[in-house]
Amino acid sequence: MKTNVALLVLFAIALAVVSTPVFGHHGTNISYDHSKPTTLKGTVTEFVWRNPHAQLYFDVKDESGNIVHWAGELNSPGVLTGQGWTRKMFVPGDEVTLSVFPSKAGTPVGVVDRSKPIVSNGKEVVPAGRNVD
Amino acid sequence: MRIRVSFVTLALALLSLPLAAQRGGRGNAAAAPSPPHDPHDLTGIWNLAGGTDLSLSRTPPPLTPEGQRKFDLNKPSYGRELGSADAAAHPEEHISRRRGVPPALGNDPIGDCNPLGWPRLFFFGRPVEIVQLPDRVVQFWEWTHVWRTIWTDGRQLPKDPDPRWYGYSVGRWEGDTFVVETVGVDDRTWVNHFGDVHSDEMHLTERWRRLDRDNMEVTMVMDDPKFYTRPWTSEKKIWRLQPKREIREEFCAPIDEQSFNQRTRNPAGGLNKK
Repeated sequence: MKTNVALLVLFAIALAVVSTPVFGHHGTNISYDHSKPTTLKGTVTEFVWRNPHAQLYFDVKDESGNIVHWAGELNSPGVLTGQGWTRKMFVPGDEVTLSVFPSKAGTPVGVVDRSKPIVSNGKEVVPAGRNVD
Repeated sequence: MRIRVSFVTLALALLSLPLAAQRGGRGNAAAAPSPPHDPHDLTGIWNLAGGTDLSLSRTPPPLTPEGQRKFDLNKPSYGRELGSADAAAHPEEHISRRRGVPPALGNDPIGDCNPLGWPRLFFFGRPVEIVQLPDRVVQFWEWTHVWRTIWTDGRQLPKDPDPRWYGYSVGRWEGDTFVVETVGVDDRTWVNHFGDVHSDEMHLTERWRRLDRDNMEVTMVMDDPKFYTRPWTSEKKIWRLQPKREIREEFCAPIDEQSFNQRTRNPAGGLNKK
């Protein structure tokens, strides 16, 4: 049992190293709370495929049924292209489920948590990966 | 026992993944014989090796009072967050690495797509294409789509240069090392992401040396007695040849930056809440 715990700890450390978030170009990381990954389900309103960072805008219904306009920050299109993304990956109306690290300011803005998959219209369009620059 | 070994192996393999990625998968480069190359030809697309610290070194030399005044005005968004437990836990680090604020509340020139300047562009983490001509070496930098001319026709550095975002550079060969000197860099640019400063009198010397076909070593010395009490000597920085890469068009266009700032960056930092 002790061995199992030790192995789990080692495994957890290994996973943490693999998925360490390193966001770069605009010092984005500091605005977001990486201790609070939050899963959101919503409807895409716009996918902005431009520098400095791509942005996914989507509407989420809160507990009271009100629509909240969320912004999800991504990396630059150049970096995303290298990871197999395309500008046509999301279009308005897509039903998406994704995880974000929300802003420390408590606003409906988050940097997209790439350690979780992104599901669009029931299909996993971005597999779980690493939060890298 | 077998299970234990396989778990440990898996964990170690996972641990080594980022390191292997940082080496660009060239972990055995030192052991294997290098394919032939011309040490006086730097042509090609190169990228800074992963895991490299994004400054000359982690600790700048002590500042002069004038340099300190300028340094204190800068509010970077990289490094540990100012006033955080994380910053407090690392008193051994230079203050430049412990004073980050959200981009919306900072004053990094990059936040409005201003030119990065030299040497900051070197540390940005995007590739450069180097082209050699008989009288100059030209560096085409991917991020912000700028080129840098290094004159090799024997001309001298200007004595009293007008400030320019990327300064004025001349280069010469010393054995197999390409030595570049730069002056006249606009003092509004930051040395790196951490808001370290340079004055209008900065004199930067870079030494580019191809170690083998695929690896280039660069060191630099920043001499700026107006702002620092002694020269700032960099660590060795390694650049890797990227034979399959092509330089992308990567402008930082103010029209896009303004939209990004208004819709994402500023609300993320608590400004103009939606």
